[in-house]
Amino acid sequence: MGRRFLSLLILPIIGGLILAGCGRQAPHLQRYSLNPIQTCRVGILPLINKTDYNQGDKILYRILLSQLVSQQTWDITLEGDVIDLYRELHIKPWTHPSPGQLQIIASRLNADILIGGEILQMRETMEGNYINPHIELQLSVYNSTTGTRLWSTYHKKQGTDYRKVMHFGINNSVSQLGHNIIKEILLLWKEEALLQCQD
Amino acid sequence: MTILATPVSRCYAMTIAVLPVEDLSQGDNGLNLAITRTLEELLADKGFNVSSQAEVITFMVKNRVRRLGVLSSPYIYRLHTELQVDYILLASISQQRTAPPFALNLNLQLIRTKDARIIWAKTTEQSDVNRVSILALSTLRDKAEIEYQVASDALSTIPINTEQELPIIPQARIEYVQLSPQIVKPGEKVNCQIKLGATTTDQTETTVSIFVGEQIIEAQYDSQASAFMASWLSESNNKQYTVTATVSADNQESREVIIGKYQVDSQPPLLKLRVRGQELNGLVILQKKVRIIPALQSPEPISRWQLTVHNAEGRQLVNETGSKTLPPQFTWWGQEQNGTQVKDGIYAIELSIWDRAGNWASSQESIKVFRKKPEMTIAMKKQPHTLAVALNYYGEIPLAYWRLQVRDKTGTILAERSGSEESNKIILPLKMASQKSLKYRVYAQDMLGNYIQKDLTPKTNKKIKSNDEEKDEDDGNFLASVGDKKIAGEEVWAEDF
Repeated sequence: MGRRFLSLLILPIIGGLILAGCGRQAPHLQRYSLNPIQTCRVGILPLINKTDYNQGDKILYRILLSQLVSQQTWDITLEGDVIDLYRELHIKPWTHPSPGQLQIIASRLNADILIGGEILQMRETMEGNYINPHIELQLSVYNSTTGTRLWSTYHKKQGTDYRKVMHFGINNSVSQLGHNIIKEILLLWKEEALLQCQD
Repeated sequence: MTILATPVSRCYAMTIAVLPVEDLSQGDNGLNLAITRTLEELLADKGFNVSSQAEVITFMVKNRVRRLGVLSSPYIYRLHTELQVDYILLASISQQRTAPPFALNLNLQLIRTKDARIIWAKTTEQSDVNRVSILALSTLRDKAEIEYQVASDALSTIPINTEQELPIIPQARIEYVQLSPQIVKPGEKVNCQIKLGATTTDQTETTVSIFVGEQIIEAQYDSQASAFMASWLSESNNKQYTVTATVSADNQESREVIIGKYQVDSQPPLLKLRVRGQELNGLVILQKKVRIIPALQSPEPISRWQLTVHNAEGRQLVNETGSKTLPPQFTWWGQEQNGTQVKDGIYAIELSIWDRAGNWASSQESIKVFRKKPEMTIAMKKQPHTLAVALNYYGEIPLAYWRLQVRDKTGTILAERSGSEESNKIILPLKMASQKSLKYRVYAQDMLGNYIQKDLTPKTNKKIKSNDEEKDEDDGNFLASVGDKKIAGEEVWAEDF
């Protein structure tokens, strides 16, 4: 009787640990340059939304902006200034600017680096009695003087990856999931000492 | 009692304008006035002097601010000067799910108007799923309650005074640049217009210097355009030039800024025209159509193109033009611009293109229009058990092959012969019970694929009529003809076609 009770207690714990382990995908970092760059002012380019999710680019843009600002390390350029420059240079928001255009944007914004990216997947699916969001995102960082890519990070997550027990912990909106994904990407960049501003 | 009744906002005297909250859940430029009001109330409670919505809306209308959720520096500086606000709060609802499970995501940005700098930002999410507790004590079910809770959470860490932490750095800011053209020929004029931001105090005392290659150009202030204007002649070397500028004014920082790039291009595009079709003696022949394929040896964008077709006398029959994109191929159906078919003969097809700098390139190819059908005469002599046939070909294009079939009245083929050269003596064996109802079919095709097909019926002692007016069974424009012939002999008949 005691052994049976013990097994009933242990099995859910093991199951929970397995589930928790499955959800811990780390962002994948790809470096294109090993030279460190002094980064004090950051420009964020409009994200390219390759999904059908309406306004997904703006949602993740503002989450990324607020997370960078909240770390109080960098001066972040205004979204409105970036949009104005895109308009002035005739760059469509759903296209990648050329290296030459990136140089002009960075210089005009006085930015040390530019962050751009693509939303590869963004959707919400109803699973049982909860909503499970999915996001697949790639962020790239560009050198302001050359317009070339310094590094890029790919990350993919879904709401259930954050499950703690039962439905608790599940991210049930793309905004909440986007917040966590961007947080993890920025944490990786911090751990790798990629974004540093030393006055 | 009077002291207690004084609003808390007077203590800080920091003025803030809350711009109408953009609601992304409602699509592009969605508006949420309820949360806007809630944010205003909460900020007032925190001691800020909040500008009225009427003032903010009036400012937006006056300055033609059409977007919500974002604002560029020029408007932020104008807000500082016109409404005397120290900060603006830009807010957007990223997501709002009104059906269970309820979710609300609010994004806030606090921007200091003196230097248009984001000094604080926060994103707050709230969902009734995450709020469910064991006894459902803290569950939020009311939409307004959740909105208030989210706005309150979002503003909980808003800084009151940031000037000491983040020093204000005034900048002479380039607001707008127009550099044209982007691609020029050597020695052509390049124009530049620069508008400076509102932070530059007196623009007449400001110096704007432009650097390009070895040249330094001082831009002149144009009070009518409220902009600095400059123009210079482009360099002679074919390459891309980066244009930078510095702005110098009293108490203003002067920094070299890349304002644009332009390409000097004196090389005309290398164009080769290829005409695809059946060739004869080195010339492409047009029967129905020819495909004209332009090929650029070094592909580059073009500004416009022109395709013309001239006849041997030099008269222009076709003139097609287009801009920007060069079609991958053209098709000419042998027609003039008005749709009439051109006569047989030699024609010159010419394609001209202009690149973005205006460099011109052209390529020409000649083709031959030839639609004439093969011409041949056939003479037959029927004997008791054989049929003697003589074929004479008159076509300009060499004969590819011919075929002769003898059929009975039911259409069954009784004898057949074919060849690739004309022949004066073809003997076909005939072993039929009745030879009176026989039919003959002749098919001939030249090297270009032009063909004739004719069903013949023996005629006796009868003058063969010219078939100038006869129509071909297949395409309706059968034109082959030979002069009338008279064949003597009781069982001999002949036909031209």
